[in-house]
Amino acid sequence: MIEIKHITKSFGNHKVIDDVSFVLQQGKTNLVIGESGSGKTTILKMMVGLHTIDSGQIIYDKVVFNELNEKQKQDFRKDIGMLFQGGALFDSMTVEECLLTSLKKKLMSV
Amino acid sequence: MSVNSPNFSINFVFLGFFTKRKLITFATIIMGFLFHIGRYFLLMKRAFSKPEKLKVYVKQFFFEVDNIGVSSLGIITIISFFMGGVITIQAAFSLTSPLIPLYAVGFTTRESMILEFSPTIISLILAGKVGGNIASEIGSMRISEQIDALEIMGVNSASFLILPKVLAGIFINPFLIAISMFLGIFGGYVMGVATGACTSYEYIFGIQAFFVPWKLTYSFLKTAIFGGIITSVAAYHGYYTQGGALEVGRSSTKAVVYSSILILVANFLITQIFFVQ
Repeated sequence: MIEIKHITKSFGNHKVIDDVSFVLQQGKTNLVIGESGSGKTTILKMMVGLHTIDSGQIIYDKVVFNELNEKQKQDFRKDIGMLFQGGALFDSMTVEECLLTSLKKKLMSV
Repeated sequence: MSVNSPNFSINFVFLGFFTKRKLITFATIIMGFLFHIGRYFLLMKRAFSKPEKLKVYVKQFFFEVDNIGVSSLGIITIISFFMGGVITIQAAFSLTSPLIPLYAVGFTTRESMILEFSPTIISLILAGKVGGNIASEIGSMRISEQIDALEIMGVNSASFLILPKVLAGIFINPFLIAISMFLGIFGGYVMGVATGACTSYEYIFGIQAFFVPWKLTYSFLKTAIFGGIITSVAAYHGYYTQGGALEVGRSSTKAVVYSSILILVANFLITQIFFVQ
C-alpha cells in the first residue's frame, strides 16, 4: 500500500501541489487525471524521489520514503517500475517490458 | 568626523551609490553565485562516489577518451601547426636588433607554445568543442527524461554519466597538449625556414636553448586541471538543464562561457603559484 499524506510542492513562488493526500491499494489499478500543468507528473516524480517534497509524507508499506537518504532511495527505487511520457531509455520495448525491466534486473542479480 | 572632512563626503557618496534596490540586486547575484558553486560541488560529490560496476565505467572511460581526445586531434593539428608558424614569423620580424641573436626566434616559439599557447589556447578551443558537446549530450538526456529513467533503475546517473567524462578529460588533455606543443614547434620550423625568417640550425639551436624542464611539469599540470574544468562544468550545465531544445542550446553556451572564464582564472592562479616564489 502506498500512502500520500498532505504533500506540498512549490517551484520558486509557484505552488504546484497543495496539501494532496490519497491511498493506493495493492492489487488495484489507479488513475490520476487532470488538465495539463495540474501536477500529475510532479506527484509521480515525488513518489519515486525524483522531486523532493516541501512537506508531507510518502509511505510505502510503513517505510517513510521521503525520510530515506539518497543512497537508500536509490536502492529502494530498484523495486519500482516507471514508464516516462517520451519512452526515455527503451523506446523499442512495450509498456509492460519497460515496467518489468527493474524487476527482471533484480531477479537476474539474485 | 565633521561634516566638512573629506572622509565624510566619501562615505556619503558610498552609501548613496548602494541604494536598497542595488543592494538587493547585488545580494541576489551573490546568492545565485553561491547556489551554483554549492550545487556544482554536491554534483561532483555524487559523481565521484564509488562506482557499482567498475567494468562498465572502465569501458565508458575509454569510450570518452576516444570521444573527447581522438576526435579533437584534427582541429588541434591544424591550429597548433599554423599558430607555431605565425609566432615564428612574428618573432623573426620583430626581433630586428643586431644585439638579439636569430636563435631567439626558436626560443620564443618554444616558450610561447609550451607555456601558454598550447595549454591555454587549445584548452579554450576544447572548451568550445568538447564542453558544448558534453552539455548538449547530457542536457538532451535530461529533457528526454533518460536521466530520470536511469535514477528509477537505481543507477547513480551523476556518477554513470559524469565520472568517466571528467576522468577522461583529465587523462587525455595533457596528451593532446603535448601533441599541440610538438606540432606548434614543428610548424614554426617549417614556416620559419620556408619564409627565410631563420635558418634551420638557428631555429633548432633556439628551441634547445635555456630549457627548464619544470616548465613542462607546470604546463601539463595546468592542462590536466583545465581538462577537469572543461568536462565537469559542461556536465554540470547539461545535468541541470530544464525545459526543451532551446534550453539545451543555452546550457551548451553557458558551459562554454563559464568553463572558458574558469580556465583563465585557474591559469592565472596556477601561474601565480608556480612563478611567484
